[in-house]
Amino acid sequence: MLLPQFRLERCGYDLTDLAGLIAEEKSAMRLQALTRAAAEEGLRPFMTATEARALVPEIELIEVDAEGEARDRRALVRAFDPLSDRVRAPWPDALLLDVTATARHFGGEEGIVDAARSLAARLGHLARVTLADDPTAARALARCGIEGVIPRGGAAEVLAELPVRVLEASQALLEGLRAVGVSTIGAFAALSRSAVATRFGEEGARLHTVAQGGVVPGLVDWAEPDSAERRVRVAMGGATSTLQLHFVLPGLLSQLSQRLGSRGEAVVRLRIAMHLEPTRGVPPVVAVTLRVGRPTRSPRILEPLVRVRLEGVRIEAPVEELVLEAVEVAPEQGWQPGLTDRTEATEPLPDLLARLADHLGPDALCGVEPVDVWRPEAAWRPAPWPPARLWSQRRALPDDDPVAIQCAHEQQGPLPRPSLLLPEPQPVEAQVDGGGLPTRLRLEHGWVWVRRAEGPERLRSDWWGDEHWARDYWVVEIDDGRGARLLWVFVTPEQRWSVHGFFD
Amino acid sequence: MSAAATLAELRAQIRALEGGARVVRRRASSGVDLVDELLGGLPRPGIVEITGPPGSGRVRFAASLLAEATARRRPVAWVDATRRLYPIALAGHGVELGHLLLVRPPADGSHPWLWATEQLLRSGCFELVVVEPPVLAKGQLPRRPIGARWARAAEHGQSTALVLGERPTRQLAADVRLAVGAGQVAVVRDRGGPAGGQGPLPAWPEHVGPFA
Repeated sequence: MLLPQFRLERCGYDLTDLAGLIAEEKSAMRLQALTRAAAEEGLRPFMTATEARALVPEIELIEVDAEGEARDRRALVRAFDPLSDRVRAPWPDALLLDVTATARHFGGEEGIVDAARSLAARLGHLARVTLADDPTAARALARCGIEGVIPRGGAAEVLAELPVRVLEASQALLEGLRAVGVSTIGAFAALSRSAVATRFGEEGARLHTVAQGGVVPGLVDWAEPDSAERRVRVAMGGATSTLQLHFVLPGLLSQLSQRLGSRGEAVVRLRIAMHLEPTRGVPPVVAVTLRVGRPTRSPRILEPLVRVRLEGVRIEAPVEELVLEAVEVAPEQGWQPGLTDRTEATEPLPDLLARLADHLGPDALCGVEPVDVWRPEAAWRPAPWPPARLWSQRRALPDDDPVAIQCAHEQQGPLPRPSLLLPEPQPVEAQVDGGGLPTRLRLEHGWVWVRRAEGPERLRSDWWGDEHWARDYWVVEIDDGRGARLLWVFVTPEQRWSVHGFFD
Repeated sequence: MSAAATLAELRAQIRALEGGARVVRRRASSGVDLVDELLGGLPRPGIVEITGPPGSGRVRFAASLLAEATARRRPVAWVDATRRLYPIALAGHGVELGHLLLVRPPADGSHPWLWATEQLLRSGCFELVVVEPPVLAKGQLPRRPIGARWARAAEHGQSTALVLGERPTRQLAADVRLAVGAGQVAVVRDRGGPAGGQGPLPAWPEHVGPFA
């Protein structure tokens, strides 16, 4: 499955954005990947960032985050687990799925290709899915836009007209073939196998096999020596309810704990996979993962988390085998309660946070970090909680510096801010007096009189930024029949009024 | 003797017979004078329901309690099921934002905010858990006894839930119910003491109060 825009899509860009990734190469920051829109503007990989900005001044260039890409690629591999238990990412822009054993569960090869395509779309990735006997052939065809199922043994015929370079041959091999007048894969396949092997070595022989429609084994090492140590399994003999799984959990977790203990490791992320009896229309493997708040290998902590995670899982066919795998581990470091933890706490805070995040989603919990910007809705951002330095913070001692004292004295205090802020300002009609003071507002129940108004507090975007906005904020007191209420409203230079929040 | 008087006498006799079986709710000083004077402190463990129309000052009242708790470096949690809380305003009320955990459960029909609140109370990691339920139409709130579950959880974790709402919630069975409005806080119900007391809402802090 080719994911041509994966590196940019993971950064939030799509085909129509003018964006590119840059990294240092040959003493300059050079383009590594770019969106289709950027390519259409004439930008090319390996162009320097300066050249790119000269050609397309509005292009957004960001540095390659190799670690983040690798992490996201691993996440993508895990996301495709339901389609096959053999998923790898041998190339930066493609996933390889061995669907030999699983295609039948999706109604055949056409079905699993559709399933892969729709899963990629759900994950927000543009994908070209090609099913062929050999991975290199499948990738070459996908690169040329040939998608779908290639019949068994039919790859050579489809590849024949394509240029040899789509096989990602080395420069030396391409030049060698060009010297003997070979430019298409079909012509390459027609050469004698022994002659190719003699002249172009292992690479030539391997690609020649692909060109002839054969299969080259060993491209991907499916075995993972390390993961076997972090995986435990038990035969379930056709369990049909999660209750039956609960019975075996303590033993299985103890086994996993012992294995990890021998390596000095603790679980960060645990994968629970249920291998189901082959049933038409049901995926062969149902897997869920959970992330723990702090690395642990304690079955006492892990068991309730796994139980909660399994609660929401529907078992659509009898479970043949249950597999627990620590897919992400960290060195075991133990945990020391913080000095400010309540003595009444009945469980460690990290365990509580892990359970909440696992159940509600990672974005549902956050700390609050004020941001020094004028735009009210951007004046705070979610932050990890608890903040790393919270417990070690100490109140600052009084500063005797007279300049600091004067600055503190002159510093303007915080201005009124509503306790409830609408996600989007709500446009309203308003009547104003000669001085621009709002006198009436038209809310959902009709026109209401403004009893008092205070303002304006003039907020503007930074002149050097990309955003351009201006708002005059007013605090207004109204009485809409349910008692006096304080609203935070603003007016733009175009005299458009909006309610942005409520004081409560 | 009237029927009501007879009933009252019988109830008194039952209470006397039960004696020590009655659960005594401990009161903990909140640091907010009004609360300590009216209620003798916040019930801990316990559930306090703060009701009032929008804009009446419920959030301001809860913020004053959070400010005192965070000043003592106690972690507090706010379950914001409406997803409208503007935490910057809490900072204006003196809440140490570093000690505040904001929980914004997804808005789905399973009411995950109920479960999240129970977990926060049960864990005992938070002294105060403020809950702002989503605006629900009549009958949308599950019929299960929320109050009993939360009360057990609060007792387990020795914590206090502050539940904000427009109207009293029958399923909640709060230990203390306060009504906020017209700049006043009134005790509507108090299982540990007399109801009927009232006092002025805590004032807006300097600068952040409108029309200050």
